[in-house]
Parts: sequence; structure tokens; C-alpha cells
Amino acid sequence: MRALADGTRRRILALIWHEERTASEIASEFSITGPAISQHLKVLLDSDLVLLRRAGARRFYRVNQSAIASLQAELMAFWDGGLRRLKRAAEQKEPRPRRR
Amino acid sequence: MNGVPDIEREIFIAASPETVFRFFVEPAFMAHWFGQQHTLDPRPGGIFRVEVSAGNFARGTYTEVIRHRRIAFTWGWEGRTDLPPGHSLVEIELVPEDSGTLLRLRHSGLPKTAEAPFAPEDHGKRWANYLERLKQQNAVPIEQVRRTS
Repeated sequence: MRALADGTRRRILALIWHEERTASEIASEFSITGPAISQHLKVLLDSDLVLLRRAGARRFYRVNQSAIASLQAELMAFWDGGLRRLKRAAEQKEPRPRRR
Repeated sequence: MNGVPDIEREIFIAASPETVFRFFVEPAFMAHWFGQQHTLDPRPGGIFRVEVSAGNFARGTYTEVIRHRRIAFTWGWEGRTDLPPGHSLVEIELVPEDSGTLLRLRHSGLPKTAEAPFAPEDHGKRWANYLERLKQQNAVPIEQVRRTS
């Protein structure tokens, strides 16, 4: 959560949500210094929220979308697990002859 | 894709809607499938607060309670800015079917990350911890849960 505690980092994520950008492209959107932006990008990389692609001397940053997909999968598994327990408990509470 | 799509789940339960309903509104029943401690006031505007795991509280308010048919409550985490209490919505529909109940669940309003990025790594850890606990406690086969999305 520390990675997201900072408003600048949240804005950076929004910037590179749909397309990758270089650090200088990102920095041009902000009034703070390039090194400060680099520091923010390092925090985001360390948290696995952002991925880095190197092309020659250029470094492109983008949001790690698979983290989003995994959240969805985890939420689904969370509810599946809960509903299975609910089913078992409810059927024990009130056994019915026909099941499927 | 901006943010997390709605979660939709469906499961058949061989028990009446009257019975299933109680598992969403009575602490002693809810404890069988979800959470450790429960503060439930099942009426529109009433509190929904569950200690999901030690020290982690899910909180919201019931928005709709139609006896034996439909329950809806808002959902979020206490002390969190990425998915605060009341941020998302969980809707439960109980449909009488055969000799039991078809339960439909929809969890919507999850973070729209393009506007307000959240912390999937943090969120993921919490769910993963909880899922691990579920796995240990629950050996019922998963195929009983029908996927609808």
C-alpha cells in the first residue's frame, strides 16, 4: 500500500495505464524533477505494480495488468470458496432429497 | 479493461431460500461460511461488519433486504483507501428452483483503476491469505460452483 500512498505515483500509474512510456515522457507531465520521477518509478517497480521494457538505451514503463487479472481471479476464488462452505452448511441445516 | 470487472457467481443449494437467507443475516449462520465476528443489522441502511480474518474487517451497509429473495450490501475494508467501506456492492439473489435454491452473487463497483489506481499486490495478499485458510477448512469439490462470467 505504501507504493500507492503517494499521489504522484497514482498519477504515474494512470498515465501508463493504457500505453507504455519512457521516464522522460512521464516526467514531462509533472513539475517535479526527473530524478524524483525515477525514484517514484523505482518504488512502483519494486512493488511489482509497474513493468519495465528495455529497448536499446530507452526504458519503457507500463502498468502490470496481470496483477489486475489475478485480483479478479482471487476474488472469484474467494467467493467460490465461501459459497461452497455456505452450500455445505445450508444443506446440512436442511437436507433435501433431490440434489444435483 | 479499466479496473476489475464485476464478479458473478451462481451455485445451486439443496435447501430452501428461507434457510439460505438466514446465512446472510444471522451471525450464528454466517459464521459457518464467512468471517469470525459479525455485526449485522439486516435492513436498508443497517450495518454489515465482518471480521474476515484476524484484524481485517469488511464493512458496509445493507442496501436491500427482501426476505428469502434478495440481499444487497456495500462492501469495503476498514482502514483502507483503495477499497474503503461502502465502495463496492455485493448483491445476492435467491431463486427457488427444483427442491432448493439457485443463488446468484454479483460483486460490482470494484476499483476503476484508470482513474484511481489501487494496490493489487496488497489486496492480493489479503485474499490469498484468506483463500489459504478456506482451502484448509474446505474439501468440497469446486465443480459444484458454476461459473457465469
